[in-house]
Amino acid sequence: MEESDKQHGPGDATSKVHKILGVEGDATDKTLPVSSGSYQPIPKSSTAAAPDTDSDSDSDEEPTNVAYDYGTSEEWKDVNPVPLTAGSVMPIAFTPQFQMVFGYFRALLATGELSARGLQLCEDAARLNPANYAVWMYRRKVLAHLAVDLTGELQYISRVIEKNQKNYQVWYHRQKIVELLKDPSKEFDFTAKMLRKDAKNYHVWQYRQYILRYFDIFDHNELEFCDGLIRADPFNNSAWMHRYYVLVELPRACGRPSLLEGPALEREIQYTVAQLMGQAHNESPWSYLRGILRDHWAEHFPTVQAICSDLYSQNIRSPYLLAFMIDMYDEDIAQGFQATTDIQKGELLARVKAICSDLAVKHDVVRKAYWNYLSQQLAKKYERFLPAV
Amino acid sequence: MQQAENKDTSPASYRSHQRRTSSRDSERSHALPFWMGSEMPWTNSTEAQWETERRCEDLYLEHDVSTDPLESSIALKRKALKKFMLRGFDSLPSSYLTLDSSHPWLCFWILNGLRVLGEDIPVETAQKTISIIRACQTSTGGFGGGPAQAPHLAGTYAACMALCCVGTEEALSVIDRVGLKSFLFQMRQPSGAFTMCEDGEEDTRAVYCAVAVATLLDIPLSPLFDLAPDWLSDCQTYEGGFGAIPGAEAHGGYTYCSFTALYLLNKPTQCRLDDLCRWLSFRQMRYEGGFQGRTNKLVDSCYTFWQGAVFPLLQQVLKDRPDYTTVPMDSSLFDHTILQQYVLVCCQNVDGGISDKPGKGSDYYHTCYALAGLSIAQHNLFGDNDEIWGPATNRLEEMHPAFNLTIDCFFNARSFFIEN
Repeated sequence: MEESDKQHGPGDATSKVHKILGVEGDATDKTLPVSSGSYQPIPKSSTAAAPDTDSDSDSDEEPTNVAYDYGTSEEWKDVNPVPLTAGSVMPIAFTPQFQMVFGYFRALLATGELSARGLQLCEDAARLNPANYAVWMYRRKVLAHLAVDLTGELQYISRVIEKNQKNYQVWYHRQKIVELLKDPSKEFDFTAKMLRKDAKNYHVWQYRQYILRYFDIFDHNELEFCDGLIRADPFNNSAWMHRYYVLVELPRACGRPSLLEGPALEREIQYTVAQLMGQAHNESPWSYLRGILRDHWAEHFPTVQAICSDLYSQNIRSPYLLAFMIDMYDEDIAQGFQATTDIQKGELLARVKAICSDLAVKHDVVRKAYWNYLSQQLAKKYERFLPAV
Repeated sequence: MQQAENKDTSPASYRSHQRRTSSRDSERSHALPFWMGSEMPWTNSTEAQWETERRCEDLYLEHDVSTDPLESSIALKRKALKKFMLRGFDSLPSSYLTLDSSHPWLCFWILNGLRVLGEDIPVETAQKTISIIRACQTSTGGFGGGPAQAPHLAGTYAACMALCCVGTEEALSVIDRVGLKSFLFQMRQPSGAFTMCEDGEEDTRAVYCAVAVATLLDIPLSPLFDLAPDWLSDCQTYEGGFGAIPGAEAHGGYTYCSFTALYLLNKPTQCRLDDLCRWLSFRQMRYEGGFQGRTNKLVDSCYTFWQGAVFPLLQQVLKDRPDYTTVPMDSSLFDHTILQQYVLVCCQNVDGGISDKPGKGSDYYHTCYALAGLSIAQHNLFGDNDEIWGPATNRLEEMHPAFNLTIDCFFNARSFFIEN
């Protein structure tokens, strides 16, 4: 439904709005901009704890005077809006339109009416407060009750999400609609578009992973997609995480074997190492490398050790490199890849303690307490390899 | 305290960005930005990081961040904070309209902020809170985000905590424990996870809200949460932190929810503790001093609590770990000094509240979590002394890290629910 269908001058609504406000109580009256009666758009520079608003939303899609005049409408004259009782809410400066729309919304909730006009009301309510989960719950009930064609609903929720990308409710709503449509074909382009606006938006990544999992999609070229984002910004940890999701978490969730075996694992190691060589001060690839090696240290220990030694000999002292080396030596002591004798293990432990100490006093002093703790912990774990004093 | 050994490390020119080397920042010189000594690519991430550090730098240069905590003059602006908090019960600007489904949260953020400051709740404010929370109460026993809104676990958690902040018998009696218990059962999923509301999203927030409320109200944790630890441990990622659901990226808020829930369910060892400890430690920003929420994201004062409060819980577990890796635990594993500096120097806003980071406006959410986290940083559970940075008047009330209530409010409510 397009907004143009229901643009009305806001001035006419004031009488009805005042009727609602009259019951509201003194505290709120003082803060209401009732004098003009005009719709106050929610400031984009909102400082509220609500999810970030994005400055790049398409303003042409949203007329300023959005609220339909429910108060003078023939269609709504049988409905008595339910005002808020005095003192029942925090004293937010509700606009007259906000009061009006939610007054009617509460009325429909109270009567349990599931109707086409209810859908229209939802759009106004969701525009004023997209974080109101009750509005979306009600909307889904109406959609189901009226057996509405959900293709249009998908277009509608796309428009809403473009203006409210960091909001739980809108993404959940989209999820439910796509489940009913049984068609994930538009979801990759849509999420890619949203990631162009913010490549680390948590909701988008979680949603994209949901689509892959729910529809058990394993032939979409997700690694290429991640690679594009990582090339644009190697510090995009979400894109690294998504690689792991596609190779390990998704197959596991769908009951298929891990894609991180044999040549695929080697390819991932190469890919990650290329990133590390370019930038050793980026935590994301180091974490990723640790993640993909978790059950595979044995096969790849020599390769990884050579890389670390190379970087270290170039005088690189990135805390992420050093932290990784600590883990690598820990694995070697525990599993005996190269350090096979107690003496070798003892030497390695001394090396680990020296790295922890360097980190604590020179390279990563902010985490001094952590490095000292880790040093003690590993010494305790492997104390049998320490030379007797 | 911190020597300036590496001060002579000549930085690679990075967009002509020069770090200061004056004597008064010697204490922070250990915290030179992470790209020093190497050429960094100019990406969205590094650009935003650079800008944030620059804004913090301006403030750290402007204020005397001296080594001796007691010599510093950076005070917590208590009067302004109290005024800012109480103002929220008189009027909230229209930028808060999107919180019309979070009325219990607004109550909790404000009341808890006052409590952390050591303030009593004025009688009138207590009455307003009780009326608002009652209006959010539903016939199921759960609380919605506002009048006529369906019950929701986040609203329920916030409502219960807000009532605990008030702490009177009248306030605590609002809760319908029998109804609430059945509401929690309704939100439980076959996997052991919980949904936030009927026909709502499922994530680790929901589990935490349910566990925290059940624990506080003395509702039996079994069988309600029998499967929850398995589901929660699936949410731990390769990085070591926890995501919203299995497979999602590690994130400070979800990590707090997941690990605290495991802790309260007495199953904290059902996750990889060493990986968690490393991930958590790495979230403290070397230059800004505060915590980031995710790897390669920006510092944000709310994570002072979300990340900071996991430390005492995790350290408690590591300390009592029933294996050979137990070592003495006599201090916080994060740098409590620079964390306090971040909140006090970089985030106190002219309007009296606390903001996310320099250049952003303040709000009740950030103010509540920054103050609660500041308290966590001040009160070292693993040493003999508190670590108050700045004047002694900066001292805040001690918090229970697993509930985000002051110790007094927590025990007051807890004994009420055990007795009744």
